[in-house]
Amino acid sequence: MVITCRELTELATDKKEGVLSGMDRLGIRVHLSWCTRCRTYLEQMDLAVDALAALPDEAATDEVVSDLVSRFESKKRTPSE
Amino acid sequence: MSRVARSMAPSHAEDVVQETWAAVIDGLDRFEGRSSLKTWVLRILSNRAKTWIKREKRLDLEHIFTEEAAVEETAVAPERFSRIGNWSAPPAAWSERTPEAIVLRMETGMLLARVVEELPQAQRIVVTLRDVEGLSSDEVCDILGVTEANQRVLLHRGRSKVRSAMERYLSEP
Ligand SMILES: [Zn+2]
Repeated sequence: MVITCRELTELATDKKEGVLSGMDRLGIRVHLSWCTRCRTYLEQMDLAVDALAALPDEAATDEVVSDLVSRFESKKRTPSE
Repeated sequence: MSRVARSMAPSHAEDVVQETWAAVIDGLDRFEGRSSLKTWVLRILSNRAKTWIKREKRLDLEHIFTEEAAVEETAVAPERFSRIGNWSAPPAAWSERTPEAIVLRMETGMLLARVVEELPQAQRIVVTLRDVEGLSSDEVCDILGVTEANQRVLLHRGRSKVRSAMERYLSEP
């Protein structure tokens, strides 16, 4: 099973999600053993995903959570009739 | 939470957030802890956002996902490959090689957040929930009510676009 660079870029997410067929998994392993360009590509895809996870939380979150807590507390104090 | 609301219904994000808080406060007694608090809140938010999407576009979110997934689209521009499918314009090395350095370089994430905002709707929703919020594929499909296959296709395209946007900022000259 020969995989081209173009095909590999389309399989990048299936690989990361762990849903490749056995054939594709083998094809990718063989391809990456010689193709440094696709190794770079997959590293960059991983970096892109990790950078998204590293986006700073939005500043509003803390305020909103403490707002929720205080509203919940006041609701407990005045139970609906 | 407002980030997820904006990804789903950008023009009604504040309404979605307010309605979600109201529903969360109302329903907190009934929260059974079978899912995490986060996914429970996001499921409520997703339902509120879906109502707004339907009101605005007259389409169910499931339809939007199916239609967007059916559009032919490649992860990398076809002109970057030779006729037989090898790289003709391969990815260049990046100036930053850690996630933290990339975020910093992209105006402490502002540019990266904008890249996500500019993705097509379904891709933007999936990338926000999976990669920014860190939910699993099962959680995302469950919260949104979309199929795993559509979710994965849209995640793939969204991530591919994020990588190529980063390339513009990070490729060494
Ligand atoms: Zn290759």
